[in-house]
Amino acid sequence: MPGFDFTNYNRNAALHARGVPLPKATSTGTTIVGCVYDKGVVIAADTRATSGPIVADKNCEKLHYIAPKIWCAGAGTAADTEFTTALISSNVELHSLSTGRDPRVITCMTMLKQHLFRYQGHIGAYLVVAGVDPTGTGLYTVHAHGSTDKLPYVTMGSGSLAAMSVFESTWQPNLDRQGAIDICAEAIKAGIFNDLGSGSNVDVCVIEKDQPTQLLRNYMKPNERPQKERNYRFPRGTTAYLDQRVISKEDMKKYVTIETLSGDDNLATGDSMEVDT
Amino acid sequence: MGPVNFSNLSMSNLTSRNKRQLPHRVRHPASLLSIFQNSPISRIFYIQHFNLFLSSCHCDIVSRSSSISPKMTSLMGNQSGTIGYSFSEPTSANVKQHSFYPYTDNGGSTLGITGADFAILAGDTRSTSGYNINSRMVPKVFKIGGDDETGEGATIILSVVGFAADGNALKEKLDTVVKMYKYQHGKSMSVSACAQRLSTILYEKRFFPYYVHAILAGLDEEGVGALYSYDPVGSYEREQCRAAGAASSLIMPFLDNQVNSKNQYIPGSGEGHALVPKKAEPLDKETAKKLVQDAFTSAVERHIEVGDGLQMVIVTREGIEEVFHALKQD
Repeated sequence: MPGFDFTNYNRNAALHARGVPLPKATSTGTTIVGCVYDKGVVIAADTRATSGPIVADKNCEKLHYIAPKIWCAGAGTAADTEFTTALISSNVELHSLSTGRDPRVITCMTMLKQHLFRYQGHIGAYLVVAGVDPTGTGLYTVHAHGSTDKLPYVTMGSGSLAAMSVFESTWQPNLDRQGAIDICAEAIKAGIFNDLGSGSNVDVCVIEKDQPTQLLRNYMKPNERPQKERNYRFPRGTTAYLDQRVISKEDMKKYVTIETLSGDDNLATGDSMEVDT
Repeated sequence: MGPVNFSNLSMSNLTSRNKRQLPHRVRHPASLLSIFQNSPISRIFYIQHFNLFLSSCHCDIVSRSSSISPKMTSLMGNQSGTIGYSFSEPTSANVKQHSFYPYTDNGGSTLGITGADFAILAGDTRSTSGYNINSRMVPKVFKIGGDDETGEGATIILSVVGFAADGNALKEKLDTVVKMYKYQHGKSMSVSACAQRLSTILYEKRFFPYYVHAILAGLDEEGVGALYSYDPVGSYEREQCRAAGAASSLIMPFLDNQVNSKNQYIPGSGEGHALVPKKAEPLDKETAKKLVQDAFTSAVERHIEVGDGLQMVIVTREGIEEVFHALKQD
C-alpha cells in the first residue's frame, strides 16, 4: 500500500481530545535563503536543528539534492523536508528518464506543491527550490499548504525576517556569482545571530549553467566552540557496575562470525563522527 | 497592610483563567525543574468559578488545567499522582474567554557554587522572548544592600532567572529591606537572616507570585560560603551548588557530578557495586570559576535561550569581584 499509514489516527485523535499532547518533532526554527545571479542561482541554510528550546543537531544539512542541477533548502519539520524532497527527487529522476530531457525547476516545484497541497499543510515542509534547466534559472518558495512564489531573492523559516532584512537593504540586480554567495551567507548569518531557532554554520549551494553544482558545506563557521577550561577524563574504574564477565574472542566465535581487519586506519572506518574533545 | 498581601488577588484570578493555573505544589523536592517547563503530565485539574467584573461585563470564569505552571517544592511528592497520560474532562465550548497573562519567560540560566571561603553566582546575560533576543546584556546577578547605587559595600548577592520584570522587582525589594535593616539596627544583615527574609517576601505573594527562581549567596557568620536556592513562592534550602533557569536541567547533573562527586567511585576500592563513593571535597575558587565557565559554554551549545555573555560575581572576605566573559551569540 502506497502513502501514509493512518491506522492509529482515531486512537490518537481520541487521546489528543483528552489532553494528551502531540509528540514533538525536530526543527521548526531555521533560516534558509536563495538568490539568483547573472549565470545561475545560490541557496544557503543554517545548520541548527531544534526540539523545543533544545538544540538537537548543531551541524545538520538542510540543503537537499533533487537533481544534479536542482537543489532544495528545507525548513519546518525535519522529517517532512527530508522525505518530501527525497520522494520528489525520485519522481523527478523517473520523469527525466521517461522524457529523455533534463528536469525543470518548475516541474519539480509543481510536483512539490501538488504533493503538499494534497496533505493540507499536515506535511510541515517549507522549501526553497532552486536550479538551472534548459529554460534558464529558477528560484521558488513552496509553503506547506501548497502556495508558491517566484522571486529573485527569497527567505524562509523562523529566521526569514532577519534574512530578508539583509536582502531588502543590500540586494541589487545583476549580481555576479561571488556577490550572490556573499549576500546569501550574510542573510543566513543575520538569521543565525538574531533568531534563536537558527544557529551554528552556513551551508551554501551554487548552481550554474554548464558548470558542476557546488555544495559548499560549512562555507562559514562563525560559531566554533571555545576550548574547555578543565579536563573531564575520569580515571578508569570510576563507574560502579553490577556484574562483570569477560568473553574471549574464541568464545565469541561460537555465536558470531569475526572478521579481523588490518590495522590500517583507512580500512576500518566508516563515516567519522564529530565529537567534542 | 496585613501579613499577606491580597492587593492583586483579582489579577491572580486573571492568570488562572488563561489556562495557566495558579502555581501548585507539584515539584518533587529532589528534582528542581525549570519553572516554566511544560508539564502536561503533572497537571492538576482545578475548576474555579469566579464572578469577576471585567471589561464592564460579568463573566463566568472557568480555569482549566495548565500547560505552563511554575514548579514548586512539594513535601508530598507529585500531587497529581498520575503516571503516564493524564486525561482531562472535555470542557464545554462556546464560552468566550478573555485573557490577560502578565508573565513572560525571558529565558536564561543561573548557577551558584560555594566553597570554604567564597561563593560564586553566575548567569548568562541574554534576555529572550520566544525566538527573539530582547538584549544581549541584561545581568541576572545583583549586589544586595550596598551603600550606594553601584552596590559598593555589599556582602550579599542575588541571582534571579525567569520573568525579568519580577526579578528586578524582587531585587529592588530585597535591596531596600537589607538597607533598612542596616539603618534601623546599625549592623549589616547576616546571609541567613536575609535568606529567611527573602523567603517571606516570596511567600507574601503566594497567590500572585514572582515568576522567578532566585539564588542568594554570601558568607555565613563563620566566613564560609553560603548559598540558598528558592522556588517561586519561598520554599528554600541551603546548598553547596544549584543551577536554575532554562538550562538548569542541563547544568545541574554536571554540578552534582563535579561539585558533589555524585556517581563517582574510588577505582579499585571494591568489587562491582561495592565500590567506595568518592567523597566531595570543597573546591578552591579558581576550580569553581572554571567549572562555571564550562557549565555555561556547554549550556550555550545545547540550549537556544542561553548565550551572549557570562556574568560571574564572587563573594570573598576581601569583597565582591565581578567578571564578564563572552559567550557564543548564535
